Amino acid sequence: MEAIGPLEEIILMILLQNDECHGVEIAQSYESVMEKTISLPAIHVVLKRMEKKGWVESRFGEPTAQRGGRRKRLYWATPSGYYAIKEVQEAKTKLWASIVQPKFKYGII
Amino acid sequence: MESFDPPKWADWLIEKICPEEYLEEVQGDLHEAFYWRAEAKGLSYARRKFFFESLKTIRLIRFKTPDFMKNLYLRTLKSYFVTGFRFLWKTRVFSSINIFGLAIGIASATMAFLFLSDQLSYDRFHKNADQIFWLNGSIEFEGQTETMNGASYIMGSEIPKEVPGIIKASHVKNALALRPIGEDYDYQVYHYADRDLFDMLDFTFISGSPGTFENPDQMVVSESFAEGLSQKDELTLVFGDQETVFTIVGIYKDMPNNSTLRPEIIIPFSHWKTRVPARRTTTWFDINMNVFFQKSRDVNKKALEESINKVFATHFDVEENNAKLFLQPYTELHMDPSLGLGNGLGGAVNRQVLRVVIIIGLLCLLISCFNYSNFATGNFLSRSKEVAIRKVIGAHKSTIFQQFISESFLSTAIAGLLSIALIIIILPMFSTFVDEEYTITQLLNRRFIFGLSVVIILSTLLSGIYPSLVLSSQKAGNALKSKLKVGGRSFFGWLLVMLQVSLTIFLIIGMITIQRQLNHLVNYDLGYNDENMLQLSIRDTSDRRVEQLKQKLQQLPFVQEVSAYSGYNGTDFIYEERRIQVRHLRTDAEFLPLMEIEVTEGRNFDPAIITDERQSILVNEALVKQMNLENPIGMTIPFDYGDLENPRIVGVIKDYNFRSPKRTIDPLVVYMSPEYQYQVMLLKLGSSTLTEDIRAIEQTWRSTYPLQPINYAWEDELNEARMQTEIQIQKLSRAGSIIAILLASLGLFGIVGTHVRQRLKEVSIRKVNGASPWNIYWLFSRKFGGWLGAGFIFGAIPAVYFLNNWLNNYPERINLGVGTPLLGTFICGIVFISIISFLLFKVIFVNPAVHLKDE
Repeated sequence: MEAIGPLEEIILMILLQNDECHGVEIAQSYESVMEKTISLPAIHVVLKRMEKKGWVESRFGEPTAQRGGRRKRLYWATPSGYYAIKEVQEAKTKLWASIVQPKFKYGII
Repeated sequence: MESFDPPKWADWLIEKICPEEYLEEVQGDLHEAFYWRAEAKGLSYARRKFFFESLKTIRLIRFKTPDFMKNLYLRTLKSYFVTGFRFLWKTRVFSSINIFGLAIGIASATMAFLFLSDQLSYDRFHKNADQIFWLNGSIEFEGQTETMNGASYIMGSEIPKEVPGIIKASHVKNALALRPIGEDYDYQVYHYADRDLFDMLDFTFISGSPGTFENPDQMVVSESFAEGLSQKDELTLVFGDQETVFTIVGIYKDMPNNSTLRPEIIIPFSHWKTRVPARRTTTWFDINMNVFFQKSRDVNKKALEESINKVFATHFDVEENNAKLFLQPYTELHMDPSLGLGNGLGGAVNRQVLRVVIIIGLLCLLISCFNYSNFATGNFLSRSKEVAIRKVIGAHKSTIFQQFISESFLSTAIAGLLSIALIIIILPMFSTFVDEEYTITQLLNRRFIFGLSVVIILSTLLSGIYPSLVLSSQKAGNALKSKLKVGGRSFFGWLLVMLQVSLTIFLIIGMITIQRQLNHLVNYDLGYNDENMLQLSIRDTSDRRVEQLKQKLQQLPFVQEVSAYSGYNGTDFIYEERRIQVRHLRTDAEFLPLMEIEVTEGRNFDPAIITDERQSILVNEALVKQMNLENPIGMTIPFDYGDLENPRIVGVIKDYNFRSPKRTIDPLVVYMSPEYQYQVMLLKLGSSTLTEDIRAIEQTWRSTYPLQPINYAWEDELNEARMQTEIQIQKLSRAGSIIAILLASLGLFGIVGTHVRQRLKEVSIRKVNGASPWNIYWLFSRKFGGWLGAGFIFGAIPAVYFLNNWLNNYPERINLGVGTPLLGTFICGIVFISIISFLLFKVIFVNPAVHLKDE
């Protein structure tokens, strides 16, 4: 099982939410969910890496005028991508569930 | 609407940076995101973001570690360099002094190398350079072998005809003609040569060609000379009173600076033959030109010399004259000043200058390498724990050694780069020092890069080996227990310090002595007063107008005295079965008063006494001594020369040095003659000579010799020019020694600094226990006193030995005595004391707690 990075996790989940999406859509979802900005090349790098790992696949979409006539590249998550994140997320959820009431040893935040 | 689009230049940036395969997607996404952001958060935000994102596309480039970097050794090396850099940065004050010193050393050595290789490259650029020889000969005379340093015309034309091994041959000679420039005339040097010369040497004709080069009215000229001509197809020269118009048939590229032969104008020898009597082309022993042969590649030099001598013997009575011809390689001419190259060949390099440059260059390099060693050894002290831990983990001795050698290579390489900058700054000054034309562009050749690399590798080894050895051989346990002490104890470390001190003393003594000797020569009393004395050269010695000129000059109000004389020629005569070598001078009665030379016995010439013209001579004291004369006045001596027949000595004059302080004073006979054959006219002027006065002299000259330009020089400047080599050495040695001494003091600074730093705790404890500043001062000075003593033995004694050898070249030399060596050591001591004081100042006056605290 290959390790999964935090940004990989988030982008993979965004992809699993949707059918297909391209870089800008991912950035928009990311910014609305995480409430912070992200730069596109960072997303691109992660996408390429995950494509190599076989977690996502892609195809060229249609060109638009806003893109200066350039085609989109649409990404979607593969089953192996789904399983890669499933295990981690389940483990995390389990952990999170066990935390009933936070105990702060050194005082209260 | 234009402004709502993404910035064009950032777009361009994306296209440059982003890999081709992702470009369409990435650029499209960025554009789309731009409009989205512009709408959401405003245009300027979108623009800013677009720009940064365009830069960040660099992340899409996949950087791969090159295959060769996967090599374990190279990766280790890289890590060494990184560690080295960090350490240099950490100790940046010491390191930069150290590296700067090293850079000075490298720059000096590289410059010396440049000079040496340039001098050695003389004439080697010709394709056939190794096949070309200069004909020379020797003749035995009275048991003394004399070298002719030249050849005769017939040697150059007859020998190649009869010796099959010679494939090309040319005579070379230069001469002086007058060249009309507007209304005036100026002297113009030109060369005679034969057709073969253009094939022997690498002449490149940019227009025309020498053709058969037999027509006496044709000439070829150099490119730079042709540039100065308004009319590029002909040139008029005046020989005597005869004007000749030459046709320029070819223009060749100038010979480079490192060429012995650099003619401006070349005229065929057929022209020379029309101007000289026929016997000059047929006399075997009429040495007045250069002859060059090119041998075929399948004969060797020795065999060729033998066959040349065989041919020579058929034409010339070799037995009686004990004459022999030999060949000298063309490429060696520049390195041999004893040949006294003339007749159109450029002067050779003075070996003393060459030697001084090399010695100074190497010494500077050596000293700066020692500096580095000492500095680095002291500096590396703080790294002994690092080394110890490496060793504990399993590093081998050789690994540690490699690490520190690579670090010293790093420093040397940085110093090397720095030295290039230094060289660029110093080069123009250096060029004027050594009288050569070096330019920056000349540096960018293979020779220079090779030289610099050699110097860098050499200094890496020289400077890095000792600290690396010390650090790699230390015991890991000791270092971890802080028991370490570096330098000072080992024999090699002691040797380094010794060498440093000795070299410093050696250099200081050398500099003082050279300065003293050269001052002595420059200020040497020649025995006559050369102030305000003007010399006019008279070209045509048979010209009777000279007396006319003399009288006219005498009438000028500012001229105090006028005299004329011939050159100081040499001859000999037999006296009491002894051969007496003398110089003789033909002059007039005004000569001695003008020169302010004292007549010790007898009297000066008197124009009123008729016999003085042909019967009387004056001699100098050196001749009286040479002939062992008790009572010379009134004696007749068998000096039969010219019109003289057993002349009578009427006076003895005080010795004066008529050649140069570098030579001894020869015996001299002075006589008058009604035949004027004067070569030089001397004028004694008042002390406040104006430019107008010189112009008046020029006008007087012109009224006597309307065709010839005047050629004058100040006597004291001429005397100074004779000392040119010495002045050059003086300047070079002064500059070089100052650099070397600076470097050496830098090194002493390093040594003392290391010692002081090592003993900081000790000194602090002593202070806590009540040691006075003087106690501490004494603690350190004691040791350096010993070093100074040893430096005196190993530095001053060799210095005295070498300098005595050098001084023996001069008949007029200073005595070294013990003063100079002691003074040199004393100066070195002062440098020591000031460095120690400077460094100890901090130790003595600082709160000892600072150094005793551990954390």
